[in-house]
Amino acid sequence: MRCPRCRAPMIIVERNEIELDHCLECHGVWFDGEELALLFTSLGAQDAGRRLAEIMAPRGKKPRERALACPRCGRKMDQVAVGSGAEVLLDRCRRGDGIWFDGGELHAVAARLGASGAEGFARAAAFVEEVFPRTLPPEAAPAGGPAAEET
Amino acid sequence: MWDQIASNRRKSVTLVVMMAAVLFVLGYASGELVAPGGGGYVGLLVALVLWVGLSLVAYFQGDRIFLGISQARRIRREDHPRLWNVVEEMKIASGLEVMPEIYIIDDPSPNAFATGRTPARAAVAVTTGLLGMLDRAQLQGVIAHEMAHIRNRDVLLMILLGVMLGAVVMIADLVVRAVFWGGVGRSRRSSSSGGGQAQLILLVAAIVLMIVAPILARLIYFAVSRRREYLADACGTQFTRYPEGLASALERIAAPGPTLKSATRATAPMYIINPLRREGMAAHNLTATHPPIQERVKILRAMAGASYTDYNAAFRQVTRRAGVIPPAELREAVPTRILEAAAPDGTTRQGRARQAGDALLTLSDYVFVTCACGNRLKIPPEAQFTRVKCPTCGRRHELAP
Ligand SMILES: [Zn+2]
Ligand SMILES: [Zn+2]
Repeated sequence: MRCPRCRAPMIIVERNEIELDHCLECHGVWFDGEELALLFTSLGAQDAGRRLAEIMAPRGKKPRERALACPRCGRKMDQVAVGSGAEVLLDRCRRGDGIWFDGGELHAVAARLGASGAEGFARAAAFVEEVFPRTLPPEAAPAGGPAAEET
Repeated sequence: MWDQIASNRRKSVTLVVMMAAVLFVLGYASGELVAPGGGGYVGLLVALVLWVGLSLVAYFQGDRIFLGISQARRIRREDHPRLWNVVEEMKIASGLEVMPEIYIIDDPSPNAFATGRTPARAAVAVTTGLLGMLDRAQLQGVIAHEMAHIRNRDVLLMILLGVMLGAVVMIADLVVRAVFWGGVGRSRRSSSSGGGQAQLILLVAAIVLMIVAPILARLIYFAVSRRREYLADACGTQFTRYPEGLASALERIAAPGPTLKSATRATAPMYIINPLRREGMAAHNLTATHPPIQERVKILRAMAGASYTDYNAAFRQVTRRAGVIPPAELREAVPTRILEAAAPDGTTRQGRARQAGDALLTLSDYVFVTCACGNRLKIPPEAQFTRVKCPTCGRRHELAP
């Protein structure tokens, strides 16, 4: 699958048998709808899907920029505001194929989802933060350098 | 045994002939409607050519077209041993001589298909959604059901009937459009002088036929399909001797867990419907809504044993209709006990989803890297990375070129 922002091929990161798609160029993360469902099912949160829809209120008319295309179905995704307060956006496929976290906003969105009070989302956000920590463990963190090098 | 197949065959042939009759009457009437006085024979010819053409394509290429459109990937044993072993077991239990080809379709909605014109060149295809959802006993129930269709030669019958249904719907639809937009009737009425009224009656009759023919064709199609479906449930249960496997599989398929899709359905403008998956045009579809899944589950759960006789009794008890198993088959039925429930196979929903997904990724030449932090990284061939850093722990991994 290709990154909806920069078109680079994304790698898949599997942790605890849940997969996230990750762009090594722009550090964005695709949380596939099926993977969200797997996560919620494993947590026993039966109405998690409904709660997710409630939280992701449609944003106003003016899009921040050109809409991104869903990496699964290729249709334009909606930009949706998460929670309230200063605007934090994520992109969501209208068919429910999944949601896209921009690399720079990943932790802001995860924090907002985590603070939303719904248990399923706190766990989903915690999962994203677990796989993509703000800072790497000190012993493994190299002094800068690219995440991956192409040949 | 042969007696029963022959009697079923005769019934099936009768229904195929009825369906053909609907198609040809419709063809003739359409021709008369569009071009009165002689057009009927042209219409008949068009219907005949359409039927023969579509049937030939479906017969020789239907399975390839279906598998191609679904982007089904053919697997080997090592790609998905669990699925392969279940198919192999059911192939032996069903007495099929040739191992069917096995395909996986990358689709989150759970479904299974059987295709191929003869038992010797058959294929079963299952979606990744199905593989993730079902445990071993349930998967076995579904595969046994598909094997029963292959053994009973239902696939070809349903394809040929599906093609005729498709042709009837297509012709009626085209003619109704032509009448409404092309004003076929208007030019007719103005040109008529003497027998205007009689012609008007004929016109109305023809239009009614355009509406009735597709309904009739559907009724015939579903009459056959429903019966073949119950029979495959009964037959598959004989292969597994465990009706609860299929029953709980059908139940899970009918009520899938939470998905983001159901959450956003209200805002979704529309869903893509794959035309070739409609009404068994090219393959037998496990989740076709006829007969209702709930009823099939109830019948399977009411079975006292695993034989045809038990299925027939359960069918009568649940539906309050006469039995569905042919009498000759019932006479030969051997009492069979239901197997004890097997121990849980120890797999989880996520684990099964990974197994199915990884099979497809392997076929697409992904590189798998296991990181010491517990992550598994899956790198697409087109990325052409020589090394990759684990995002969770920062470890670097060299990739073989
Ligand atoms: Zn990117
Ligand atoms: Zn999409």
